[in-house]
Order: sequence, then structure tokens, then C-alpha cells
Amino acid sequence: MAICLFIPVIWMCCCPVSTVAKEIKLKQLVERMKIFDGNQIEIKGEVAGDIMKRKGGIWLSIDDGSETMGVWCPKDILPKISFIGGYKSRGDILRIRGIFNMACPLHGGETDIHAIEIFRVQEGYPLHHPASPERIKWALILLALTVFTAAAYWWKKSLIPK
Amino acid sequence: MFKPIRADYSTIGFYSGKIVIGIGLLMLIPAFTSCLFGEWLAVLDFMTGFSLCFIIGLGLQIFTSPQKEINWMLGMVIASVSWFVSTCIGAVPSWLSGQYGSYLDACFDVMSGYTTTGLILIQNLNHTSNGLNMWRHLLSYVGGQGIIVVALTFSMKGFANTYSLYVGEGKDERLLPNVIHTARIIWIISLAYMGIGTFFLTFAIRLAGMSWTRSFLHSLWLFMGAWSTGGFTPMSQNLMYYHSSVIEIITLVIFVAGSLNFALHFTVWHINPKEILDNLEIVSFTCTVLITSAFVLLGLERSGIYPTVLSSWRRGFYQLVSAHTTTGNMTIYGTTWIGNWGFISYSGIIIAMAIGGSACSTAGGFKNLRIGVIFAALVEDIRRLISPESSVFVQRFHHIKDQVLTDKYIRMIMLIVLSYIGLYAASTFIAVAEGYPFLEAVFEGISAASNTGLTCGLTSPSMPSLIKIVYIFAMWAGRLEFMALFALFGFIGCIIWGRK
Repeated sequence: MAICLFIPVIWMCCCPVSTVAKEIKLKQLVERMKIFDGNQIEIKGEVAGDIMKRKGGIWLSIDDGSETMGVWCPKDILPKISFIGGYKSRGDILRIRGIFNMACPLHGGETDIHAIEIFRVQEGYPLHHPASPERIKWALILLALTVFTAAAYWWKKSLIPK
Repeated sequence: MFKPIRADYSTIGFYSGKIVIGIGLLMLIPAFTSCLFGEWLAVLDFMTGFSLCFIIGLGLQIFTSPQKEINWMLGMVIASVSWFVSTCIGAVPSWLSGQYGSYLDACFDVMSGYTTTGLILIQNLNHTSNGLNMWRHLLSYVGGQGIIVVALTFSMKGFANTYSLYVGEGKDERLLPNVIHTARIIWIISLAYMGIGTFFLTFAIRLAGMSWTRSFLHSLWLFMGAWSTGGFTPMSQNLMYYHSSVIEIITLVIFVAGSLNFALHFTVWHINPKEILDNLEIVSFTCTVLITSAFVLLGLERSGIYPTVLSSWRRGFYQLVSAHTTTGNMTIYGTTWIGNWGFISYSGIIIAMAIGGSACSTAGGFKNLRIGVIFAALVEDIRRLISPESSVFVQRFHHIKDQVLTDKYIRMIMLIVLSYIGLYAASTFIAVAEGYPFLEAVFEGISAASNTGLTCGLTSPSMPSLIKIVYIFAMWAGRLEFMALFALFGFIGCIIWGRK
């Protein structure tokens, strides 16, 4: 009787992935593809690069800091995206629930996630890259030295008879 | 063995200085790109790198002079020194970008670019400025043709009659009698393909759903990465980012073209289009592609990872040709090689990477010509064994023209192939000694030394510095095909042990 009570508990502990979505790092997905293949997973990451509209859906690139992966989603479930990650902006952070495919039959064997639900959990923001005064100072010093070296070079060259 | 004299150092310094100035001028292109997109911090990084190049380059021009004629030894030493110095200086703007864990990591990426390897240690690639992306891909494009070829192309004063410099860079075929004209032809071929390739890629990427501006930039960078068989891409997912079979096909055509001998391109364009059917390199390349493809596709069939035969072909053939041409563009994740593809496919990829592309091209590895010649020599030896002793054989092979296969030529080829095998073994051994699994160490070691750039995940910013240094050396030695490095070591030996 006691063992019967423990069976569900043992099953929950031993089963590496349940069919219930659970937030996971993309690096883990990539390293343990066979285990997660075909299962429902949940990821959280930044929209990076481009949103590519295609026939029947949209491709998103999700970068969670550990890895980047393509997410295929129907147009109607994509929330409003304010910022896409790049040099000048930190992209919106999305939480995505979907099916992980080690080799997607719909997309020529690509490793991807087919989104079921997408929530925007954090809006992105513009990134600024101000130059520190120290760096500007060194750049100017080096530029002055370049001018000086160039002048010395032309002076030396003028001394050599043609 | 004589100790080098002041005139030797002066000559090496003079020519290396010119190359450094050339690298400085190249930095103006990414600086201009950054200006266009308002990336002012990146502009500052490139102007700092530009200033350093000019201070060092012009400084060398002031304090040194070409006091000696460039002989073979000096030519080779100048080539290897120039590549090393160009890497150290080229890494400055990359390092200043703040996207590298250390200066060594930046040097690793720059050497990877110049040598058209494609292994990367850059962090946060998805947030890289357009200027830095332009720099990374430009390094790869220029490195593919050769840093010295650039100097020769612009006929920098004093570079005439410097065939040994050209050979020192791993290219040994004159397309035209004059080496400067040869360098210019190499650039004309590369730029013509660049125009065509970028045009088609721009439309393909636009169709994939990106804006016109980004389509153009990405197409330019993808072309540079593919043509130079470097495999750099602007996004961390590599070719997977685009989710497009059309882009995969175009890049595949570009890197196959890039991996072919420039002498073959020139002959097919100008002299004899049928050369492509008779050339030993093409025959060798076709045979090895077919054999290694069979390995890969058989392995994939047995592993059953892909749902259809078509998807198996799409993934398998692309990775295989990318490996064989030593490009390194990927449409799968690195962990897939060992974890999912199975040992047979893995072996096919390893063999393809080790063989590599054509001689006098942008590719690395043993080279198809050498494999073809070794096979022809083997056939000749077997014929000799089974023929009467009095028989006389003259073995010929066709590469651009009919050539006689001499023992001296075979010995030279064997020396280079054995050097590659030694380098592959050494790169593997170091990684195993540092605690990495054998299969991963073999994959990454061969990938670095053959200038391929495919990765199974071993190469990362967190890997030990020793492995980074070994891979930098492996990429350098593999790209210059050893002779220039042997000459450099000989030169250093002369400094230490030479007689006055």
C-alpha cells in the first residue's frame, strides 16, 4: 500500500521532463535535445535581431543569455514588440510556452520552438554607449602622435634625394 | 647558419611597417560604417586602432629601410611577422568594443578572421555594432585573399619582385608572370563575385523578412564570410538565423566558388572553360565530397535524427560542404555533431575538414590538389610494382596545364601534409590534456588547424588560455602552410645560435 503511494512521487522525481511546461535555459535545450524533443517547454529571453514575417507565421530570435534559438509563432499570438535587441537597444523580454523540436518536420529539420503562448514580461529600452572622457583623451593623444609621426615621416622622406 | 645582421631586421621592419599601415587604412571602412549608423563609440575605437597602426607603421618606415633584396628566407619571415603583427594591432578596436573577455580573446577572433577560420570568442554577438561586424567580416575577406596580396594589389612602393612574400602567405601559383598583376587578378575575381553574390543575397534576405538596409548589410557580410571560407556571420545563430533554404543554397554556391583555386577561376574565365572538367583538383574535390557525403548521409540515416530524407540531405550536405571547403557556416547547433549525428557522420565531417579546399584559394586543410597528387603517386607506385623492372614511367597530372609528377614535388607535398597531421594531433593533444573529451578535442583541433571553424561547443570564452594560444598558433600555421613559420623559427634559431 505504502509503495503505491510513493509511485507517483518517484515518477515525478525520475521523469526528466514532464509534458507540463517548465522554464528552461536554451543552453540546456541544446545540450539535451533528445530528452526535450517534442515536449512542451517554457523559455524566457530577449527578442534579438529581426522579426521575420513569413507565410503562415513569424520567426523570432530569442536570446536568453545562454544561447539563441528561433521561435516560430502564428501572427495572432505575438504581443506588441516595442524594442528589438541590437547594438542600440535591449529587446523586449518575452516568456514563451511552446513545443521544442530537435529537427522540425515543418522547417526542414531545423532545431526550433513552435510557440503556443507568448507574453511580454518586460519592455526593452534604448541602449546608450557614451564614450568616457578617459577614452576620448587617449584617442586624441594618439591622433596627435599620428600627425606628429606622419610629419616626421614626410620630413625624413624629403631629406632623401630623388 | 649566420646570425642575422642589422640589414635583415631593417628590411623585415620596413615591409612589416607597410603592411601595418595597410591594416590601418582598412580600419577606415568600419569607422565609416559606424559613422553612417551613428555608432560614435565604435568610431572612436576604430580611430584609436587607426592611429596606433599609423604610429607603428610610419615609425617603422622612419627607423628602417629596405637594405637588402628580399630572398626566400626574408620573404617568408616578413610574411609570418606581418600576419602576427596585423593580428595584434587588428585586435585593438575589437578589444576596445568591450565584447571580449580579454585582449587574448580579441586576438583569437582576429586571427580566426584573417586565417578565415571562423571560430569565435566574441560575447553578446547579437548586440554588436555594424562597425564591428563590418570589421570582423572585412578581416575575413581580406585574410582570404591574403594581407600581402592587398599590399601587392596596391603595388605599394618597394613590393615589386617580391614573389617570396606572396608564396609565404600560402599561395604559390602565379596567374600572370608579374606577381603584382597576379595579386590584382585575385582581387578582380573576388570583387566580381562579391558584386554578384551580394546582389542575390540581398534579395534572398529581403524575402526572408528583413529590412532593405539590414538585408544589404547582412548580404555583404554573409558574402564576405562565405567567399573567404571564413564562416563568420553577424548573428550568433550563424546561418540558422535566417531560416531560409534559398540563403543556404546561395551561400553554399559562394563558398564552393571561394574554395576553388584562383588560377582555376582565371583559366576558366579567360583561357579555357573546359579546364573545370579536366583539373585534378576538381576531380579530387568531387571524389572526396562524394565519399564523405556518403559517410555523413549514411550516419544520419542510421541515427534517424531527421524526419525526412530531404531534411537529412539539407542539413547533412550543407554541413559537409561547409566542412570540406573549410568555411564553417552552420545550420545546426554545435552540440549536434557528437550528441546526435553519430560516429559515422562525425567521421565524414572530420575527414572533410582535414582535406579542405583548393590550393591558392581562400580555403585551408591539406588541399585537394595534394590529395589528388598523393593518390596519383600511389597509383604510379602500384603500377611500377606490377610492371617489369625495365619499364620507364612518366606520371603526369593535369592542373591548369599538364605537369610531370616528380619525386621532389611529391616529397614537398608529403612534408606539408605530414605537418598538417602533426598540427591536428598537437591541437587535439593539448585539449585532451586540459581535460576535454577526446572526440570534442579532435573535432575542434582539426577545425582550428584546417581553418574550418565548425565547432562542437568546445571553443568558448571560458576555455583555458593555453588552448586559446594553441588554436591561435594552429590557425596561423595552417593558413600560412608552415613554410613561412618554419622560416621564422629558422630565423629565430639563427638569432640565438647563428655564427657572426
